[in-house]
Amino acid sequence: MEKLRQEQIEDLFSRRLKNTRAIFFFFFLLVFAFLFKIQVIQHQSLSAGAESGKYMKVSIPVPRGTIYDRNGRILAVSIPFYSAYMDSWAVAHREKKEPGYRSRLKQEFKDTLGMSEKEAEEKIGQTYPLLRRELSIGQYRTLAEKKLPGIVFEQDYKRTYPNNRLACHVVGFTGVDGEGLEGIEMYYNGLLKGTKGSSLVLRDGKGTLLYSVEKKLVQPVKGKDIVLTLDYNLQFILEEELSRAYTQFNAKSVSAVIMDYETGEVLALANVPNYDLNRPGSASPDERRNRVVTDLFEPGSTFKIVTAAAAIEENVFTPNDVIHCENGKWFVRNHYLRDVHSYGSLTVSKVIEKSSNIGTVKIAMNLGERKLYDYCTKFGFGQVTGIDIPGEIRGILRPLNRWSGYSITAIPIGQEVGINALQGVRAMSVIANGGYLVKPHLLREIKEEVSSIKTNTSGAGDQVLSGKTCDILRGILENVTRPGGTAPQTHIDGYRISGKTGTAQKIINGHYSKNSYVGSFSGFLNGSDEKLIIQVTVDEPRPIYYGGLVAGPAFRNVLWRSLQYLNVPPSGEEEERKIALNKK
Amino acid sequence: MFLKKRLNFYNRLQIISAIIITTGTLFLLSSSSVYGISRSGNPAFYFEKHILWLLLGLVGILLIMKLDTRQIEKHSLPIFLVSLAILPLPKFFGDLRWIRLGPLSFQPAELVKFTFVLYLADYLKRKLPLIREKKTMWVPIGFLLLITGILQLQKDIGTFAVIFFTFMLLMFLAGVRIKNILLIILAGIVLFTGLILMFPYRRERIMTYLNPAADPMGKGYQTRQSLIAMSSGGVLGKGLGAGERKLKFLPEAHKDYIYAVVGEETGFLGTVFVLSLFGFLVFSSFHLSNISNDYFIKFLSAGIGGLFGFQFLLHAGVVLNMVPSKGTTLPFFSVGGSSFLINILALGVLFNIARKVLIEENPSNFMDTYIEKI
Repeated sequence: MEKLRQEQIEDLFSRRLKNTRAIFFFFFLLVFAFLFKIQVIQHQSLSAGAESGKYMKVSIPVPRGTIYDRNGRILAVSIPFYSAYMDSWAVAHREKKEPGYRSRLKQEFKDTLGMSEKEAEEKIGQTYPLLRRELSIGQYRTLAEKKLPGIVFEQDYKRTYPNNRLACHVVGFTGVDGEGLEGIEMYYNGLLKGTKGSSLVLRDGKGTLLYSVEKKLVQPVKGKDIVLTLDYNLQFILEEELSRAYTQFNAKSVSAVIMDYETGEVLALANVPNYDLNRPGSASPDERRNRVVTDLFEPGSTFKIVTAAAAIEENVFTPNDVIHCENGKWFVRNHYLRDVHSYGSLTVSKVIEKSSNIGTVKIAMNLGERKLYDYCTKFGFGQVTGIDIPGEIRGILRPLNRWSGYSITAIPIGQEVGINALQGVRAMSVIANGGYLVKPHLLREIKEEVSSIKTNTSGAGDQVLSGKTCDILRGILENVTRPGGTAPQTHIDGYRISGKTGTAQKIINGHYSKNSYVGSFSGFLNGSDEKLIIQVTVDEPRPIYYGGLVAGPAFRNVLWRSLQYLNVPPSGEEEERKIALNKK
Repeated sequence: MFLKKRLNFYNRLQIISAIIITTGTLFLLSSSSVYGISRSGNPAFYFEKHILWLLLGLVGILLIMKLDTRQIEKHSLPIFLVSLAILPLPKFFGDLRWIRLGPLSFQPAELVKFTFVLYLADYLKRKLPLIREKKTMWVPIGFLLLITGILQLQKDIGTFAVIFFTFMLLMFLAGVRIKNILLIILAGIVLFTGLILMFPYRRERIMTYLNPAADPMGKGYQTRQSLIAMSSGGVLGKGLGAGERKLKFLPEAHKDYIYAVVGEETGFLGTVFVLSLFGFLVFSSFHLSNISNDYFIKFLSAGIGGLFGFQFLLHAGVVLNMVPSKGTTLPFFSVGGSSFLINILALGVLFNIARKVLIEENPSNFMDTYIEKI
């Protein structure tokens, strides 16, 4: 047995330690050399072949602004949703670690997403398939909680209209790309849309996006919320009553507007037929038409107010001047002019009240073509109202030099002119509000992060008539709704209502049709805090067509229900009269 | 003058250790953030755990400094046996290599790496006079085979390599005949080859090593990414934290390829700095081994130096494609709590040895006053 002595041990150890140091030194030096070779010498050559960390451009969806009615009810809103995709690379990676992962996923597709065996099979074979757009909340939760590798979610927003058909022609809708296509959605698209953000996001070696390493290119800006002048409840009332009139009179269409005649705030605007905003694709163009602004019609009798107003304002007549109405048939300018009912002598007031064509034309002829034309222009005919909704037409008012000799017998009674319903409402508002032209509008407020921008709500425009003329006309028009007027069915006890019926023959193929009419009623509330003006237009009602009969009841019902909803008390004067009557 | 030099050495050892730990922690944060995000959404996920282990380690150092090396020597066999008993536990209580203890996981192989050195130091010191005899070798070789067997089950060839090399180093230092050493190495090579051939994935790694460009997107992928990272760093690097390869282009950038992250972000200067840190640590250990009079301490400090040295060399070797990839972590840099803790404790033992060797074993007139001061 060999036994080492202490000196031998020490000698051996220190010798070998020296060797060890040398060996380690050599290897450290070797590493140093390799570092030098790779990092200093080969620096260029290798890094030239380096696949750099790729930045991917990613867009960040933003919600569109919410549209509210004046009381804060939501008319349109964007809600977030998730779509699920599958990243086959990550799935394949997982499959290696967990054999059978693919079939587990397939089962998941069938169970949670309700795919068929065939569909699941198809999806699992694709590289980056969309599994489901717009996952339900339940589906999203189930999938997200399981944290399945390779299942990727993408968020986006979806426009939803909680009231379906309500105010469809005002609100409008958006397309798949999120751009407003109709109504407010289109008109205020710029405000509502916001700015989609985009950023460069670093992709790691596995293709995963690292959102913590992102460079924002465009800061996402949420769309602005806006508040409309619409009142949900008035809109609801209006639509219900319109639908009733629509069926009752077999009309081609019915449209109506409720407006504040002092400010021009549109409180309700509706057309029937209408459509479901959540399924705009299945609506016909006919249903989608916002007839209040896009349809042109001859105003008929309603237009007589313009003639009367001009004559009174210009002191051509006083309301009590008497005009002979030729007993219903008058040969003038080479053709016969007829009244529906024949009248003898009528005061100017009665001419309007009874809606005599002959009387009105006589007033106009005394006024003169020039003046008549001026007033038509002042009342805003032939010009768009400028309402903030797309598609408004200008209407037709021929310039004076293109009037025929016949024109002076047609225009005063609302023929040879074409207007949209809103222009009619605006003209009537002049009389209601004491003489100025309002600008009908729908936008009430733009909500900002901290404050809100109230849009111009006064809406007062050019003065058209003097207050005195307006007083006179309001009085005349009040008689229309009283027993004995042309529209007694629009009267509501305890309230002062001024209004005018309109019945116009439609022009079909260049001739006045014998059986196609447009019946309308336009009226407003007098002497009340609520400045309501309501116009109802019934297109091609059958079999009856007189404005007072077809549009009148709808007008009355809408007004009555609106008064209930707005808690408008009956006006004092009438109330006292009623009490006095009761005492008798 | 002489004493001052020694004190300087002692202080320098501690300062360098502090620098290594700090630098390592920085790169751990840099390289692990993307893994932290995909693991838990928190980029500092691994960093926070690392800090916890660090605090634990510092407490450990304080405790170890209280011990006398003789106490360590006395208990080295039982310590080793206990750690050996724990080694196969992952099979029953956790994952492949880890024992899970609540939020923390513990890798017994890391502990064994160190306690085996402890055991060998004690054994060799006792058997030194008989070291030329073959039969002296049987017991340690037996333990080595046992450890190898268990590690083989845990597919941990990296740790096995470090243990094997350290074992050979201590045998060499002890004075085992070169002939016998060559025999052991030969046996080791046969065993190694056997293990490699037994498992196809290891065979692939060897093939990859031989020709990394053959299949750049496949098996050679990590090697290629590692070299790209290293070379694109250049001399000065892209800046701390600015590396791209760690973003999962490099697989396990926070573990087996962290030196490549160092290379990419701080360039040649950074890698050489880290190389010097480890160099200092290793050669300091050898220095302590050289000047000590006690063979337990001589073997222990050489063993610790060997452990650090081999791990660094293997890690750097893999990253620089000098040796086949086998997954070796870099001490103080790579993510891995228990490994980090053991490495800090090993540093503590080194400090303890340094204090003993530099101050107690070489008493001088000034010594007492100095000791009182500290």
